[in-house]
Amino acid sequence: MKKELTLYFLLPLVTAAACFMELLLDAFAPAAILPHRDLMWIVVVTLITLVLERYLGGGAKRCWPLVAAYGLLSFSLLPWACGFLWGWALLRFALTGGVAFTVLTALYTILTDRLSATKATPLAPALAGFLLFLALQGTMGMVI
Amino acid sequence: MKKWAFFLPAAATLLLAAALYASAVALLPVSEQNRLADLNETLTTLLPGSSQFSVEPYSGEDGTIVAAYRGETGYVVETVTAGYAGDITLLVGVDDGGTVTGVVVRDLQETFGLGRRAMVDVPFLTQLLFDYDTLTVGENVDALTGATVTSKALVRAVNAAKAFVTGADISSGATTWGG
Repeated sequence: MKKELTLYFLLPLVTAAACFMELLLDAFAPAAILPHRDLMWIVVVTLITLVLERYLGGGAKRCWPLVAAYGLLSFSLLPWACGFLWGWALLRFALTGGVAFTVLTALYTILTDRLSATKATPLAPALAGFLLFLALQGTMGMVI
Repeated sequence: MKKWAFFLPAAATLLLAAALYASAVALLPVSEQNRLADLNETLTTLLPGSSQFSVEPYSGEDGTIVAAYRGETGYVVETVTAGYAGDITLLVGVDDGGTVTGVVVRDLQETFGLGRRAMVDVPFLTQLLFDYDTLTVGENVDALTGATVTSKALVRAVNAAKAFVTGADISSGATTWGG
């Protein structure tokens, strides 16, 4: 797999895995209280994707319109296929997903590029992801 | 790299979507069956002495109440109140005498370590079962530390459920955010 494509393959994979887990929990543990599909859900899925990509050796040159397009595609098609969202809610979620994925990819790429410019612990990509997650806790509860 | 290679992830996304759709359709009957079984078990636990429940339509003015399940010994009332970080869904069991027999949180997205404790904090939840006509945070109910809005939302839900069963005229002003 080409390094440039790693991110675009990983995002739908991680999103699909999250959606599938939710389907399973909904079916076999209906009393479980699951996180709502909001900005934090998008942030978590995106950061897992970015950290995985970094460990798989991706993170090469980005094509930003493509990053936005794949964000939009993943956060629209997959939740819709599961029956979680539709109509106006799906459109809002997809647009938010596209924008958030692009912005987070830019932020995370800048962070990790700085890390790879010097000697860093192998845990650095994961820690950078965790740091961004903590920083974005402020968006919790934000209505999209 | 060929230009068309950039469309390969899109094709993979379509395949994943098809797989998820098939899974969702396959799991639908199981999901529905388990959801009903879970609901029935919860209702039975919340209202001891009742085993059969029927949904009773609610046409009152209290926007907090979304459903009422009639059992042999009382009601289980489903309420939705505004918490600090979204709506809180609660099931409240109230017997025909107006005594709260059980409370369970069904959905809540409050802050970790603060409002989220309302799901499991036994001393707080126990207070919701106290036999007062109306529960009030700060008077006969101690709020969770750092989660006053959440505590008030739960208390409001219990008051609404009791009022539904006893026919009391509870102030609908209690449905505003934060109480």
